[in-house]
Amino acid sequence: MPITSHYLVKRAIYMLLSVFGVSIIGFALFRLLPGDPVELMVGPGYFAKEEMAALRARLGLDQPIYIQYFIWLRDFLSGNFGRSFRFDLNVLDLIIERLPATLELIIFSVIIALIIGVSIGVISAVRPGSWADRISQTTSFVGFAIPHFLWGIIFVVVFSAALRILPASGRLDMDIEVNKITGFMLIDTLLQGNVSAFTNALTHIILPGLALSMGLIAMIHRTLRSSMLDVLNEDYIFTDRMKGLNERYIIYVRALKNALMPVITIVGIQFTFLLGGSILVEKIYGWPGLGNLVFTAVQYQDLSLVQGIIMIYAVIVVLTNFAVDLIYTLVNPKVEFK
Amino acid sequence: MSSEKEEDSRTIRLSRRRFLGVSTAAAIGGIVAGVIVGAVGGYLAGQSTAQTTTVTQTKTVTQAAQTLTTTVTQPTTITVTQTVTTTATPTPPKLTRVIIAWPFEIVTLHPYKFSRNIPSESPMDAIYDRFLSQDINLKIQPGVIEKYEWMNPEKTRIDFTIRRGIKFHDGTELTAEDVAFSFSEMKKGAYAATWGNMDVIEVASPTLVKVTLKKYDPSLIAWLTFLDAFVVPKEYWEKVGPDEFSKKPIGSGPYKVKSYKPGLLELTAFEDYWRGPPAIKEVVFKEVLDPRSRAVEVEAGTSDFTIAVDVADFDRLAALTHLTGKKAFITDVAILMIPTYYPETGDENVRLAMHYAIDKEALVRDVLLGFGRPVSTTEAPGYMAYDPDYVFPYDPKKAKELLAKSGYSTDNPVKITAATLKGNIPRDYEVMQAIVAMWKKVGIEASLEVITLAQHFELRNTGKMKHVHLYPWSNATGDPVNSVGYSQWPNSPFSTWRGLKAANLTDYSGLMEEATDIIAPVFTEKDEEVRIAKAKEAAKWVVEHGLVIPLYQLATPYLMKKEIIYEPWPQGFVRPYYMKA
Repeated sequence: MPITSHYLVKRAIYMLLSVFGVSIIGFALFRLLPGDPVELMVGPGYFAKEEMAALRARLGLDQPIYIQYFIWLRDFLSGNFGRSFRFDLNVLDLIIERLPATLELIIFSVIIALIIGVSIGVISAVRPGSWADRISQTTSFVGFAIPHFLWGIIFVVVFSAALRILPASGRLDMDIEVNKITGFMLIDTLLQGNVSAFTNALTHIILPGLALSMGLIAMIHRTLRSSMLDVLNEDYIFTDRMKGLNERYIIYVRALKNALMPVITIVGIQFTFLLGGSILVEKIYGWPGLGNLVFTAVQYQDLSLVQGIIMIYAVIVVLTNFAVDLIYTLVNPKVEFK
Repeated sequence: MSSEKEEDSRTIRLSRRRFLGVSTAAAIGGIVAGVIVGAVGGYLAGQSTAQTTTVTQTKTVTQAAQTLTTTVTQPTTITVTQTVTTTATPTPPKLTRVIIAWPFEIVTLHPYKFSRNIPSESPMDAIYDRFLSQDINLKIQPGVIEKYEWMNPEKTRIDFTIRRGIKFHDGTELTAEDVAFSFSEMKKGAYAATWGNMDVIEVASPTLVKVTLKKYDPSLIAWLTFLDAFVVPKEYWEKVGPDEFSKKPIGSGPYKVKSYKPGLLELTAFEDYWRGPPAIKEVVFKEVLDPRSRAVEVEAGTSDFTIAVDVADFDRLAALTHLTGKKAFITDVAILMIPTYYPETGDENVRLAMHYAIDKEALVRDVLLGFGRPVSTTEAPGYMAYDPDYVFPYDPKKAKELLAKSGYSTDNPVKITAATLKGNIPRDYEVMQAIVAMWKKVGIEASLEVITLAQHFELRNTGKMKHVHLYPWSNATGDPVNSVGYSQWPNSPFSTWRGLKAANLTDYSGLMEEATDIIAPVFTEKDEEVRIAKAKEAAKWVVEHGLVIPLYQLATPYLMKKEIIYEPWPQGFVRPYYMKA
């Protein structure tokens, strides 16, 4: 039994404590930032001082920060994320509406990164010093050095403006209607058997997905190359070869399985970074996800919305880390969590 | 022996396989690289061609509002069209749908929620009617309100006559009840303080609304043309409630809402619109927040219309054969706000030297690439209190003399801090950098700080501004109340004086009381001619005492498909109703 119930309970407590800690830091940070959210909210509305004070009181912003926090925590625990004063909508509704778009983009980019990163990582490790290795090492260096948003701009210029083969923005062509089931466009189109809409959604996600995955491809490639080189020098691989096992079987099954362990860690950690990276990529590609929402929420100091998004991000991060641990045990049953 | 042979043959086999693999990879890589380089090369060549193509600049004839009585020439728009020789190509189908790559997030369709800047109101402007309208020269014209009349000498009672025959999107007729109801709802909205001045709102007949004001407001009529001055149907609003209303809004504007989801607002023509059915039958506001992406959208043809691309991209895009580019001046003026609660900026010599040292022509030409024009007061061309004869000169010599009077020189510079937002208006940071460099030449050493919009408000309100803030001031009404009035009057919540008063700081200029008296008539004078004359005086007075440094009026780049005929509005609105194809 690689995971014990005791471990699960302990882990759950740690996860709750992490989320709780993030909630305090996020709450304090945005309330201590310079700037008056009420002033931003009313803008040039020519509100009188008294009216501004009344509005501030209505939003609870006239209370000491710790009281504000406890009020927020009470509401949050009862499932009330508050109301966004920028959008005048329930924060949870706003997040639920946009979260699938962001998750779809991130998961898609992780899949792309895994396919490309693992492929070139294996090639590099199997033939170290070869042309293929040198080219992939240089490419991954470039991929790593250039930030997500810059890749986004490069891809838009090359594939949308110059070649005109992929769309520059949105999730789907405007004329295509897809009923919302999961909110994941690729899945919804398939569930409805709408192949042309699926293809259309795929063409829309390729560029932002690729822009987001470039750094991760590079990391996977370099990590896998290094771990694979180590694994290929292990005694058990030597033994396998001595046994006359097929070289492909040795590389892709026997060696890769163990070499993938650090890759899983990298993907887990990077998944959370991709959440951050998606903010600018979504802006460039007009992707209607959480990234755009974060942008607006921070710009207008929409405190309820900022806090709601922070909480969702925190939950995603701790769950991703937990999922990574579970995957460890699947890939390598020798790994035990007690 | 046999094992060695096997080893050798495997080595040879592997080498061949390897050779083939590498060759294939190299070939594929070469093809891909070739395609990309070719494409980018073509793209860059296109850029280069575009830059060298002959560009003709023509002043366009104004497309005036259909119901307006006067047709006027819009002097503030420059159309850039490329002269091309066309061969016999089939005529493209007439555009009936226009996709607008929109730079603003459409956060709600609720007409009375939130403050917003002028262009971002455009989707609302397509759905709802305003009480009154403005023509392309900012002159007020009838709208839903056909006529207004002041009913007493104090100008605190006003009658509004409502136009007959206007229909809402659900087919119901717009009446005085709807107008009065809209006034009442506006009093609860983002501009409550403005509309709160409407004390008593009375429906006298189906076409007459009588309003009693708490006090005279010279800009009331102008207010009815912009911001959240929209008419909503009382019956539908009360039936569904404001939350449901904002999801499925009904107005009496030229377009009905077809669908609204994050990032995308689709509108369809309202054929019974009282000014006549729109020429463009479908309009899509597609949020594309990044300026480069907006440029790509119109360049690739996935959007038909956009605004606010980077000014550096404009010439290249405008010269493309399928696009028309227009540069339009809008009712925004960039100013330097100068609080007088520092000894340095309390000194009039220093304030005026700061102004004399700025070469506004150079700023507009070299930093803004022509997307702006210098102004000498807070009043831009087209504003009611604009005085074309008044020019504040660029005179670095005089700046040095003034600084010398206060004991400063290039060897002993006055040290200040200048603050700017970054990206709030095009190239604001770069403009401030250039100004800092100009100041250095005369003996003003400014360190530059970047602040956010929220910080600007906070610093202004609490008396903690830096010595100088670069900030844009909008005035879509053209009324001096909103330019020299609210931006400079010591009793205004938006002037630098607010923080001085709030924090009880010293006014080193000693001008606060005088400024209060000089600007007050802009808000209180009932004779309109006298009011405008006093506003002109006030606008000059604040400049001549260095209390504000007006820099330039902003211009916005517009890009649209060649088939689209559209004349930009000076307020910065994008109005699909006035598009033709």
